[in-house]
Amino acid sequence: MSRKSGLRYHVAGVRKILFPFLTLSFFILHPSSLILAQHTRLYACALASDDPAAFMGGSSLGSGLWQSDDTAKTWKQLGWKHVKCYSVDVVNNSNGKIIYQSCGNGVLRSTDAGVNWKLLTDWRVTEVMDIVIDQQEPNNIYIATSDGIWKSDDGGNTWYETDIGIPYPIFVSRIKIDPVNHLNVYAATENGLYESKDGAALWNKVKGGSGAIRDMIIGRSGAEAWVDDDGGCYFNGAKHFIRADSLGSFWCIIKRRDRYLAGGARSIFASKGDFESADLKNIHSMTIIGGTLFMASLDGGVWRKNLLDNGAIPIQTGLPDLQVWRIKTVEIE
Amino acid sequence: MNTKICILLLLLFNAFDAKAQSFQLRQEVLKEIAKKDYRPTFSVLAARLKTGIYQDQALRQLDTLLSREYGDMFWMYGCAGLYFSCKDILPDNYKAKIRECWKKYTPYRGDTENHFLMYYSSLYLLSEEWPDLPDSDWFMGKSSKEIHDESASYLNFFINRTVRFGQIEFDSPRYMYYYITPLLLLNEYAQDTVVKRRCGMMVEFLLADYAAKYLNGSLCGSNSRVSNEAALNPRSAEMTSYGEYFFNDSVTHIFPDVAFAAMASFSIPEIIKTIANNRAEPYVIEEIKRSREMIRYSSELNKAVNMYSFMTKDFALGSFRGGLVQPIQQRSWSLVLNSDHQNNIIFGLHPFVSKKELGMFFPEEPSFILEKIDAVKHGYSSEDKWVGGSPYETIRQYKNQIECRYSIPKKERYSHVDIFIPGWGKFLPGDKIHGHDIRIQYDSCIVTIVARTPYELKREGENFRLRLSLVARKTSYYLSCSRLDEFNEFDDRTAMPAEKTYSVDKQNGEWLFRSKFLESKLGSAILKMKYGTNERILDFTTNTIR
Repeated sequence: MSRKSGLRYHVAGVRKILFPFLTLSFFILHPSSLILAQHTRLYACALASDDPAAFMGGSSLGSGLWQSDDTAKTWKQLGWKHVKCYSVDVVNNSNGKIIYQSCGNGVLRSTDAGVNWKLLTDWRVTEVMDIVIDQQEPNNIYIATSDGIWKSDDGGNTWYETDIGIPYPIFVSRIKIDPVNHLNVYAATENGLYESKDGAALWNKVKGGSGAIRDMIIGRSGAEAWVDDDGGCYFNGAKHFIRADSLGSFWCIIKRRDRYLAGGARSIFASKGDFESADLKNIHSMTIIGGTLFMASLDGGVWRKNLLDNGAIPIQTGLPDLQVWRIKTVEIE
Repeated sequence: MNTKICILLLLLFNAFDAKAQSFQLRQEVLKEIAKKDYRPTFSVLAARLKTGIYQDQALRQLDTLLSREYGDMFWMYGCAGLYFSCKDILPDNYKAKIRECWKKYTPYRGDTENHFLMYYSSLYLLSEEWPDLPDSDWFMGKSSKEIHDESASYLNFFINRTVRFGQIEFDSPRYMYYYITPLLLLNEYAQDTVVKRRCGMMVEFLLADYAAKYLNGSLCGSNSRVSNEAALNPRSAEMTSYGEYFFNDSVTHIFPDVAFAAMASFSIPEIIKTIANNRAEPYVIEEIKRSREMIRYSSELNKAVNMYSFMTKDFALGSFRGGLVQPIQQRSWSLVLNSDHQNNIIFGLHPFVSKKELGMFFPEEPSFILEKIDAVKHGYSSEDKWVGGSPYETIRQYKNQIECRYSIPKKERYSHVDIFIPGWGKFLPGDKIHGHDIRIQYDSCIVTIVARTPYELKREGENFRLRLSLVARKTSYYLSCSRLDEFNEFDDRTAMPAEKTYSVDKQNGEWLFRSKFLESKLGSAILKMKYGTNERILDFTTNTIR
C-alpha cells in the first residue's frame, strides 16, 4: 500500500469521529487537497536598486521581477536582473506558468513559471508601464507605454498600436479590463482617464476623468474611482474625498469593502478617514491579502500593515534595497 | 613631361605621407591610452591588447570585466568594440567567454537615442558574427536572425530620422562619442555592405556637423547635453578628444574611448577637416535638431529645435530659441572664445527646477525623481547650477548679438538669471552713453553685456557670476562680441533691429542645415558639404557619396 492510500484511510477514520469538522479536517489532511489548495503568490516589480547611481538608470543589479509564496516573508528573483520592471500579469489558468512582465526593454514572457524568458517586443515598444491579460481570451494582451497603448491578439508574438481617440502625449500609467465585460478596457493617461468599449480600438474620455491619472478601480459599472498626480482622489461620480496639493501626488488606489485607500508621495489615506498612515512615503502600489495591506515603496521594499488594527505600525517585509514600483497578487493552485 | 611626372610623384608621396602620418597618429593614441593608468574599461583593454602594452594584465582585467554582470548598453558597445577590434589577437577562450556573456547577461536597453544606438549596433554586429544561433543562445530569447533583423530595422530608422529631420541628443560635447563610436564599429565590421556604407556616411554626417561648429577643440553653440565640468571648460569635454583626433591630427586631450576610433580604418575626408579648421571668414549656420521625446506635458513627441550659430576665427556665438527641449543638461546658448585659456566660454541660464521638467522626459514618477535627482545628477536642484534649460527663456540672435528674455512666474523656485563670466578677461570702463554696460576684453575680443534689470557681479573662484534679479517677474540681457579692431562703442546695444533678427520660420523653416559649408533640405536625406569649389554629397536616398 502506498503512503498516499494510507493517509486516505486515516482520513476516513477521522471523518467518522469528527463529523462536525468534516470539511475543515478534509482540507487539512487529504493529500489531494494539498495539491489543489490555492495560495496567493505575491509579485513585486523593481525598477532599480537604491544605489544613487542606479536611480533612473534601471540597470542596477536586482531590478526586475520578484516572487514570494509566503506572504512576503521570503523573495526570489525571476529572470532578468537588469531590467526596469514596471508590472506583471499571469494567465489565470496556467497555474502561474505563463507570466508577462512589462519592462523598460519591452514585454517579456515566460511559459515555465519564470525560469526562461523571451523578449516579445521590438525597438518600437519601450518603457512599458503596465500590462493586462484578457483572462477570458488570454491571447489578447494590452500594454500601456510611455508613448501609447499597444495590443497583441496572439499571446504577445505580434503587437500593434491602438490608441485612437487619445491625444498627445499618450503617457499611460495603468491599463485595466472590466471584470464583467472584457471588451471594456480602461487607460489611466497623462491627459485623463479613457475607456474603450471595443477592445481598445477606439477610446473616449471618461466623464470627470481629467488630469494626470495614475491609477483607477474598475467596478461592475465601469471606472468607479481614480487618483491623479495632483493629489486628487475621486470616486462615485467623481466626488473627491481628498484634494490637497500639500499631500503630493497619488499613485495608487485600492478598495476594501466600503472604503478606498489611496497611496502616493506623502502617505496613505482612506475615504472614511479611519485609516491614515504618514509613516510611509512614496507608496506606488498596494494589494490586500486577507486583512493585510501590502505596499510597494519607491523608497525601498515591500511593506505590510494590518488593516484590522489602525494603530499597527507598517513593517518592512523584504526587498529593502529596491525601488518597488508595483506589487500584485495571483492565485496559484 | 618631366614636370608632370614630378608633380604626380609629389602627389603620390604626399598621399602616402598623409596615410603614414595617420597610422602614426593612431599608434600614438593607442600607446598613450595603453600605458596610462586609466580605469580598465573595454577601450583601454583593447588598446593594451592591440599594442602589446600590459597585454597579460589586460587579459586578467578582461576576465574581471566579463565576470561582473553589467547591465546596460554601455557595457554592450564596449564589449562589442573590444571583441571586433581585437578579434585577430583575442585568445579563443576569451571569445568563448564573451559569447557566454551575451547569452546570460540581461542588459537594459536604456531610454535615449544614444542608448538605443549603442544597444542595436552591438547586437547587429554580434548577430552577424554568430549568425545561426537559436533563441536559447541569446539573453533575450530571440534567434540571431530575429536580432539581426530588429537591429537593422532600428539602425535604418535612426539614420533615416536623423538625416531627414535632425538628431535628438544634438551637439553634445559629452555624448556625441556614443554616436560616433557605434557607427564607426558598424562601418568597420558590419558584413552587410549597405549598412557598412550607410554607417560610414553617418559618421561623416555627424563629424561634418561637429566640424562646422568646431573652434580650437571646442564644440560651440548650444548643446542638448553638457556635463557640469565641460559647461565651464569646453575643452574638458569628451568630444575634444575626437575633434583633435579627426580634425587636428594631434590628440592632447586623451579620452580612452577614442581608442576605438584609432583602431578603425575610417579616415576623415579632407573637406570635413578643412571645414573644421578654416575660419578665415565669419559665417552663419542655421539648422534644425530635435527635442528629446516629450512623453508628458507636450503635444508633440520630438519638437523641432531651431539652432543658429555665428562662427568666426576669434569666437563663436550660438543658440536655439530657448524653452525646454532636453532634460537637466541643456545649454541654450553660449559664446566660446578662441583662446588657450581654460573657461573660454560665456553663457547664461535660468536655474529651472521642476518635477514637470523631469516628468516630461523620464517615465518614473516626476515628484519622486525630483526628490532623488540630486543623487544622480549632482546640483540639479541648486540655485547656482550651470546647466539646464528653462521654459521661461526666449532667445533671439543675429550674428554676434544675442538677446535673452525671461518671464518667470512667482511659483517657480528660483527667481533669478545667471551668466557665467570667465575671470581671465580685463574689465573695461563703460563709455558715457552706456555707463552701465559691462565690457570685458578677452584676448582680441570685446564682450559687451547689457543687463536690463538690477544685477550683482560675484566672484566665484577665478570666475564671475552675474546674477540678474527680476523686475515685475521679468528680466533680460543683451550680449555682443566683437573683435577689438571691429568694435564700435556707439553701436546700439539695447536692442537688435527687428529686420536683422533671424526668423527661423521664414529663413530656416525648410533647411536641416544651411551655411557656407553645409546644406541639407529638411526631409531630403542629402547633405552637401562645400568648401570653395569642392563638394562632397552624402546621399542617403541612394547610399552614395558624390
